[in-house]
Amino acid sequence: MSWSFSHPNTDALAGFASRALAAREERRVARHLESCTECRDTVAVLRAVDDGARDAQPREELLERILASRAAGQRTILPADDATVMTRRRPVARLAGLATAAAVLAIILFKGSREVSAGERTGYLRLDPARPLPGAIVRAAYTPSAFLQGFDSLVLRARFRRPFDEAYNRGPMQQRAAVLHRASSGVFNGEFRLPDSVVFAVFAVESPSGDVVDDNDERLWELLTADEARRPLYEALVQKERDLMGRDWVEGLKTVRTLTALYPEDPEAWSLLSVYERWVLGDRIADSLLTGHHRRFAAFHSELAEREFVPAATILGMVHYAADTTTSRYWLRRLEREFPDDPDVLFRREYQLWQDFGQGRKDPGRYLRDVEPVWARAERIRDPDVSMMVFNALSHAIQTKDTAAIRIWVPRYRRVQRPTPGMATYWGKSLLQYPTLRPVAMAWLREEARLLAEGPDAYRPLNETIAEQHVVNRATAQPVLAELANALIEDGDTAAGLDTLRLAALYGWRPPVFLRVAQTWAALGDTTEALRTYAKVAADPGSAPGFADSIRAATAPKVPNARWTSWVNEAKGQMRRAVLERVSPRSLTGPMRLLSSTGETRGLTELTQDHVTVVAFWSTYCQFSVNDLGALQRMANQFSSSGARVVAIVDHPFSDEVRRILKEQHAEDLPVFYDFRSDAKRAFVTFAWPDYYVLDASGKVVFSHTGLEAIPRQVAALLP
Amino acid sequence: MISPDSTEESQLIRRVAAGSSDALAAFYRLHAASLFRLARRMTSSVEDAEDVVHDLFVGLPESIQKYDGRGSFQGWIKRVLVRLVLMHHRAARRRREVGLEEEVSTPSPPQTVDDGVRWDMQRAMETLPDDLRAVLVLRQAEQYTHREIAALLGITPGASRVRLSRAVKLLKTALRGRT
Repeated sequence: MSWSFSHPNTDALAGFASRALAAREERRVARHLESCTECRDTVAVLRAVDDGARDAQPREELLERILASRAAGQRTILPADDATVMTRRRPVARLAGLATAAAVLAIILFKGSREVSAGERTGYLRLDPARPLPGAIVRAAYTPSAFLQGFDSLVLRARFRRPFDEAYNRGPMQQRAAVLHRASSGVFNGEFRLPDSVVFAVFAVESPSGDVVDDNDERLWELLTADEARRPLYEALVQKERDLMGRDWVEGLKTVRTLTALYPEDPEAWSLLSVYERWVLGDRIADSLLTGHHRRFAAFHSELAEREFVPAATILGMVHYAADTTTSRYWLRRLEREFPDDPDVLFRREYQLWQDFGQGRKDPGRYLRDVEPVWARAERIRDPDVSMMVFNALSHAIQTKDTAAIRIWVPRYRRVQRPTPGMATYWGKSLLQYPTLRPVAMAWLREEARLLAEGPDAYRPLNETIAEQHVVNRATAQPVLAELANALIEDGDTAAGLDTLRLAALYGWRPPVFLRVAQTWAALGDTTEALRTYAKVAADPGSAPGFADSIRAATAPKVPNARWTSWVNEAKGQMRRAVLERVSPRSLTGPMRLLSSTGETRGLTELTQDHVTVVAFWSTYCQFSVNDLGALQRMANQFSSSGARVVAIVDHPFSDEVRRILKEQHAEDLPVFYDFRSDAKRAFVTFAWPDYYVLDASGKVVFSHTGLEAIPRQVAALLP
Repeated sequence: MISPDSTEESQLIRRVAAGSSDALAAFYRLHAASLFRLARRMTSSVEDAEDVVHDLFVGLPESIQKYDGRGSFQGWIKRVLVRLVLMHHRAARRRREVGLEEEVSTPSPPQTVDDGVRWDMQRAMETLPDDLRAVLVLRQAEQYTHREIAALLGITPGASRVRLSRAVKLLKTALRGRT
């Protein structure tokens, strides 16, 4: 034991505090302490560490919670292996706070792979080369997590993205990239060839049967293609940003920052950055950054406007980045003149036609006629704008009840759109109204139901197990089957319709489906089955007020009160179990400062503490979210007696417009707060409207992105 | 009363491993208090400590078989708990890594000496960064050697000593009400 100067080192003082020193050393320290108040303080502090939490006891209900968790099938894989080597991690969020492009560049080019301890829930995937050229052979070496150690081989799944792939990750985008085989070292190895057209990919590793997935703690592992100098390709970063949409917006902001650092000469990159700054950082910070953007745009403008030839992508970037309408119009005119077949030009033309003739149904026939030549040029282009165009045209044809146009646009839509489960319900419902289109609608619905029943792996997100996807598919299939069943019953095939309805009813708690089942039983004359099913509708707190009473009044002579009550109570239990099945509560982190209408700063935690709370995100720009405000107000009134709350979070400062909207929607008493720093958006990971969450009384998020219709029963399930 | 590391405990371990809820409850009553104290010292809130202990006991029946009988059982389970706490810290850190310059979280207010005599040690401990607090608790309250701490945290023994020193310095500052 040694110490410099006359002070003992901290270890010696710690040993003294714990009375763990040899007698001679203890005497030396004691002598020093007699004359050194600083070291005496240190010893006192160290002894107090021992005292701290000495009386701490877990709350009595903890044991109950543990036993309930086990009874519910919850398990934790503990880091129990003493041989586990806990390697040091490198920080993940390296892009944070980078002030200069050079610093960003250095980190992007030279940052190493993240290392993770073996034995934890997340393993470690090394991809070599880490920045491949498109078309390269990539070797994968995976050190398994505790969950994936007992297999001989594992599956590497990927989502490959090509330059024109859309934002978000819906539809058949996933595929098996390679099978990884276990080597004697315990590491799993394999390789695959990156398709030439792929610029960005994300990966997860799973067991051969797809029942255990390592998704790197939901972040997945990524592969950015690069040029010869190992600089990530522009398209690779754009696809990364699109892939992150909806799953990690903050990481999306970092990606766009990287894009501007690596490609500072690209106006589109800067335009994306300004958009992300507003989404992720909130209006105040975004406003403070506007001056820099305006200055940069002016520099771009003075340089590029002089050039005779500017690429279409750069011109489009200038349109998006423009600081004012005059310069925006200048660049838009150049785009239209110099690149008349650019997808953005064609989409704008379609939009203009809709404004001129479609909106307000001024001349719907003219819109459909004039959009044809635009479509003829657009169809051959693979671009997200084309998908939007066909969506608009089909919607317009349906709104104007032009069955001939519907017949034309349905196959176009299905050819161009990336298939997304669930959309068949939306379109099918519309098409079923027209006798001549019923076969088209039925075929579409049947195809979708078959697809969801088969559950092709391409549709399974990388972070879902096969079993989890099965549950999602069933929930998605439910309304499809219900529509199909209704159509069958309407067409006179009651038996097939009832069978389909009963199947739909098994796929989840959905009162409209139960109601239709009950009505069909009643039509078939089976009163008992009808009433048992009606009891499920009556048990749901979201059903119309008085529904239970009216059903009861109609059936009173046939069923004794006690039996009806027992059916309703039984249904309440079923509903609770169905609602709480597979929930996985998560905590919210970070500051969540909100501004009240009177200008006070409030914390979301303070607003939700000890109450089951519905958190509703809305925007004055989003009519769908505005339309829901009245229903939210009614829910808030309905919940008030049970102690549950609704907190509505708006993305716009309080203004006369906000107050007008609330008044018009009869939601003036709704507690509304402005997310002035985007704290809540980041904490909930939401950047779309309307978006609803239900929190339990401890403040954990139990239900995310929930539907308005489901909220009353979710709240009821969380109330004591 | 079953004494730790006894024959009865060995039997209890076997019953826990077999999935008996009663045995798990008995085991909990035997060890929960000391494990919770350790968890509480290493985390910044009662809720976090309870979450860690909850996860530990929920996973125990499947993992207890990995205890190979070498060394004391108490020591083994505490090491598992410490690793679990570290995992929770990492998960929380990842959630915090928003990487936005503007989003520096507000630190907890520094604690001062109460009446000049009683120190609010627990709250002062909560102001310490996780990595420093872990070393301080393991070294001082749990009497781990720096070599053991180094193995658990994936750092060198030298780094463990440095962290201990920094932790004490920060703690003294916090307790004196200086930032």
